[in-house]
Amino acid sequence: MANIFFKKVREIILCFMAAGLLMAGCSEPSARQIKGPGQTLRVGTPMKLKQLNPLADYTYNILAMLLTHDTLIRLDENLRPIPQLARSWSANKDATVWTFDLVPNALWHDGKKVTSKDVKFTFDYLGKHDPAHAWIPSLIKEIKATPGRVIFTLNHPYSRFLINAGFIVRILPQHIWGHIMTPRAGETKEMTVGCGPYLFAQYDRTAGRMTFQRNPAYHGGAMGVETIEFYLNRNLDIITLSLKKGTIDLYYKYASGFPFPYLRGLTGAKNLQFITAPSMGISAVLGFNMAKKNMSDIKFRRALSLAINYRGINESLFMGKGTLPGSGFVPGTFPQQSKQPFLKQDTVRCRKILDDMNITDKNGDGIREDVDGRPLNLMLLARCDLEGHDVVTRRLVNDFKSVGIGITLKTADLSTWIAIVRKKEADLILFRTTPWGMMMGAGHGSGYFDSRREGGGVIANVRDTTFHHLCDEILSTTNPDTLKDLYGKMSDYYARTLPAIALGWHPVIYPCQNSYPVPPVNQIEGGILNRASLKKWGDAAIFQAGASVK
Amino acid sequence: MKHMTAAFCQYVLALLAVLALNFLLIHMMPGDPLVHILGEEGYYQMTRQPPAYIEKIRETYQLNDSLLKQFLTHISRALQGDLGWSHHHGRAVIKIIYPRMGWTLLLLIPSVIISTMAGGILGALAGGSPRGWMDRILTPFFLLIYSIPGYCLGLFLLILAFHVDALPMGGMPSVKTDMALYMMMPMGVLVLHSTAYKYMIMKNAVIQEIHEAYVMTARSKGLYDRDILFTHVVKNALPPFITVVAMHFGFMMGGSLVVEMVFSWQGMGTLIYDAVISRDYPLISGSFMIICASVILANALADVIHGVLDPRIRSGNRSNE
Repeated sequence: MANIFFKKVREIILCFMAAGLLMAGCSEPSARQIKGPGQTLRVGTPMKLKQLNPLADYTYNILAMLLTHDTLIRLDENLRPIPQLARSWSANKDATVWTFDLVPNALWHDGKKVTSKDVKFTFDYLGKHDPAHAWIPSLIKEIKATPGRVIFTLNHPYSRFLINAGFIVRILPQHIWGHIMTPRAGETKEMTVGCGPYLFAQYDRTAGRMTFQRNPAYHGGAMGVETIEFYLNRNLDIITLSLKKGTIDLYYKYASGFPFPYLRGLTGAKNLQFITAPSMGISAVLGFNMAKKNMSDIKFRRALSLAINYRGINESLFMGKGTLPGSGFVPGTFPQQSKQPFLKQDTVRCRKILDDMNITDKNGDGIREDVDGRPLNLMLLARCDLEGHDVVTRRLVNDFKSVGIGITLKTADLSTWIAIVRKKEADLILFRTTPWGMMMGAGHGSGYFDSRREGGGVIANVRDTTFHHLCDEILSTTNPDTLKDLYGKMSDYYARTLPAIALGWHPVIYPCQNSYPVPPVNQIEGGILNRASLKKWGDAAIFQAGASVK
Repeated sequence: MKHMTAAFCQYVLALLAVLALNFLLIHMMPGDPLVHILGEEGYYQMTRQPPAYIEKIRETYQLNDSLLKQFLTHISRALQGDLGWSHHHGRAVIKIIYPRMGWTLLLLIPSVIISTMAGGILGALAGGSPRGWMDRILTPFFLLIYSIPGYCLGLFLLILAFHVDALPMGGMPSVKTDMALYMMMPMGVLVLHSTAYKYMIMKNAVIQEIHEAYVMTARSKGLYDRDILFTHVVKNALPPFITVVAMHFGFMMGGSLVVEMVFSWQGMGTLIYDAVISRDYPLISGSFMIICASVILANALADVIHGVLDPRIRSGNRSNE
């Protein structure tokens, strides 16, 4: 009986082995399969999509900006405004009245015409129903919609209306959203209807795969790439191997290049090209809570800035591909700023400043005591969910310890991080700035520091009226020469007062299959996947079609 | 029957304890319970609304009622399948969990069956002839497999998939016919790991039984060793083995969550991970409850099987031993 049983088991095992061998032998490698004339762009991303609602879901909101929804204007790769739903625009001298003339031929994806009433509706609706757009009623006094034209009258001068309203607000169809009273509760397929160059086609929740189809009726002319497939919620190991194997064409994560630690895994991949651009965001920033004792003193902040080994951080975080940061905070990619000296480690000067402030090691335990005789122990708050920040915190702790400053480290996820920052508990705050974040408020990173602002990732640590006045001045002029002068002053202010320091300026690197022509990098749209590249890659599709026929 | 009734009562009590813990998780944490229901960002946005709106939300979640009333409502809702609303997903928690749980069970149930069969049979064979060739080869192999953490084993298989074109590198298919192919690697990790554990258990159980007097009697009657092993020894080694299999179900459930992360499998693992990261408390507590209930159910099932296999348990009289 037992022998019969054994024979059966052996037969089953042999059958399985044979089936496995057959599958391995017969299957075509997916990377080598010709999927047609390059019509489908396959994008791997770790981003997660929870609902198909551009107002409620972060990922869909980004994809809507990129593909399905138009905004009044767009920013090109050099941050210059270019037409989109508005073909032209103008503002009065003090930036309180903004006029937009709309393109005449824009259509919603369901075929209805886009009108100026839709634009007015969008701003009114978001201001009324969506807490994230609470700034709309406080900024906009009146919106007038006449055929083909929308005029915004503001409550106060606001020179960055083009960026913070014209670019950021995705225009919504009134005939759909007019019936939705709670915009953040739930999803419907019609919420995906926009007037952008791609139509939402399908979302397979199980497979984590989302597909967009080219919109042939797009008012700006149809895009080149016909279909875009997003492979969502993939971990970085899988994305790295898939890029190397050629089963995805590129990596996308908003506000991020490819993570440096994983770049090593792509070394030697002949099928890939690496597109590099200087980053507009800063991956590691050390903010100072100036409401705290010692921190309010610029001499102390200067001393801290001199204790940090920037070269070491560059090696650890950016694989040595970054540069020393400037004391003016804003990376060189931003126009209109004044040149400031670079930050460098100088522990001798650091110690001297601390000694001069009478912050010395009085009891010989290796930690300095402040003027009141209390040990100098600072709380450093860091996020545990940011790539490489664990290494940076270890380096900072060692650097500060080497000059006699004790550090209590507190790491937290984003929501806890926000709560602690709001309570103003930490002395030092480690965070990152994104390209879009650098544009917030009055721009050049001011949105992170202006204490009058609220928001998820900001530290709002500058209460200085000089800084507030500078931000207000920037917001109240549209004159390019005046703006250049004011942004120069802002860089000076950062270098002079050090509300925060960049721990390194670095490039962003985007791997992409080398069958695609080098795309333009638009970091505000998220990197190499942007509307300009989607147009350009259409030509590549034709090229690939020719190649595959051969 | 008496034993079954007692066991059933224990399981009901365990389920009630899970429900109570789940309730306490949200209501006993410091701060406003609304923070844990809406998430910090949702709560922060809500605080910008007029006080009447906030009061309405409190009433919706019955936060103004007494704790006991809230608890009873919580139990009554949970028993009706209402696990709350996820503001992050904009959907009812049960509707989010239901398909995800399905994908996890799709990995888990075949893994439990295959690993139990493989671990049981191989363990019995190795235990039947200690220090035989099977024992000498399989024991170090399964020890090695068991000592490698599940996620590491997963990464090894990912590298294998990179070199073997037929295997997909994680994710899930759009076409259901490809499902078996996509399941192969995550299931492979679960099966290997679990087989290693069950192999050890079965081997030791058989080694203990093989020295019993009844085995000698069977041998003296002229029965073949393999017949003795599978008709007498394994039968007696099965009850403790089944208990271990049931207990291990909970561990496998936990292990599958990590494996899902490695292979980007859209089951409960990735769901719970995202819920924790985004502080989606209704989803976290709903998942916690469903997973606990599944483990309790698996143990209850093991009890039933145990009863079927061992008449002493069925009759509730173990003193006959």
